Amino acid sequence: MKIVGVPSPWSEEISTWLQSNAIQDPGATLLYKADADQNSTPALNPLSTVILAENLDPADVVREILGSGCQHVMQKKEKHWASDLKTAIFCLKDQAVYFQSPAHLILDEILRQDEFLYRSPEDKAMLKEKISASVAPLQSLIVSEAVEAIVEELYMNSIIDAPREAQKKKQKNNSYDQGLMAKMTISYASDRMLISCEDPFGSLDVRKFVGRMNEVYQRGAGQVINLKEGAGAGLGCIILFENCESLFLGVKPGEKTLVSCLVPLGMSHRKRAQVRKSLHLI
Amino acid sequence: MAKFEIKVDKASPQYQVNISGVIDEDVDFSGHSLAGAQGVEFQLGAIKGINSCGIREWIKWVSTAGSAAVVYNECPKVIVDQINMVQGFLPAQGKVKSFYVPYYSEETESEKLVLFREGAEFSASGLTPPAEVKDDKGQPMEMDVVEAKYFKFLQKK
Repeated sequence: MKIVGVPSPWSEEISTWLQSNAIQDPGATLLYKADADQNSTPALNPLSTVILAENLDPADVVREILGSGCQHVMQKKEKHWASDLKTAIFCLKDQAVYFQSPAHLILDEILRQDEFLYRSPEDKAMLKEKISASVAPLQSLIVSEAVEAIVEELYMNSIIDAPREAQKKKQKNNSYDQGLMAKMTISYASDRMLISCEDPFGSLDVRKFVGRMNEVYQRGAGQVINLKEGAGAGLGCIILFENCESLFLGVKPGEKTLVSCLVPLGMSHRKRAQVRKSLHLI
Repeated sequence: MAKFEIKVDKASPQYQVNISGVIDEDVDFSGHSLAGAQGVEFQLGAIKGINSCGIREWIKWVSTAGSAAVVYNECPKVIVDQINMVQGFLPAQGKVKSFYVPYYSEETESEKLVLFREGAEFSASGLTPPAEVKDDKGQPMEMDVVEAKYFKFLQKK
């Protein structure tokens, strides 16, 4: 892997990690971005470039991924930076590994995993009760609130937005009435959890989604909220990103959408706010 | 799942509104117009969550109060976050009288919510947080918010 502009000693740390984990060269470039104002290198192929930063605000991360055309913007963290790098490298090589099991790709360990299937608005109360029970052993209001916010938006995306977009695109698979199911999975590691939501439509337009995120950050939620009935309010994208440390948006067009949110555990609100966010389009 | 419940008392021109549970895409405020009120006082302490569709429905509903004075009491963190993020969530003529502030102990990882009241813990001139907050084991706790972000709404008024 070509490492461009990454300062020492981090570049050595990354090289060592790549070697010790026997990561084969995916032909990708890891490009360092010191701050939001630094121009990206246009000569690089965005589809094989991972942007590595350490000081980008959430709005800058979104702007960067839109402006550069890259699929992965990851940021330096005290711990677990390798999981973002590993995910980016593996997905540039073969996205299938993410769609098989995002938790096995992203987490170093899985201590517990709970799966929940659902297919209609009538399932929501049951889904939320089960998720509540799954999260309860953590005994953390901070985590419960983040999970509540994330689950609400993932649920709406999968049950309302995904089939509606599939119908607009005239897909054959366009309704849960066809016997299709959505799946929410919560995977726990010692100090992180991953919430993944899979729908059976693959109708999410990822670039449009990120474009909406950018619009909310740049103009303000109150200015861009969609007040019309029959469509989303358009704020869910930001609620997801604000409540996690890494957001993974995976789409197999016409087949499935798999969105994952990585949430830190055992951390105060204040520390969570300091964790730099990463964004991956898969 | 915390069931959504709403009570609107219109016995006087100062409407009293009590809300609990989760405000989501299923919420229906249509039978609870606030039109005609001189003032509306909200009790929000029992709200457990709000999603993006809930935010939209809230903004549309609260706007039915027109120019009436709107007061929010006991705002949980999830409501304070929306007030800070979404312009219009608290109407221009609205005011927050009390809200919860999270506290955290790094030592024990315990969490607590402390109610900040106008005239006691905050005022137009700034914050006067409690001198000391302790958890159930007597460990000191720290205010667990990014102050510039969480208290942003106080500076708007």
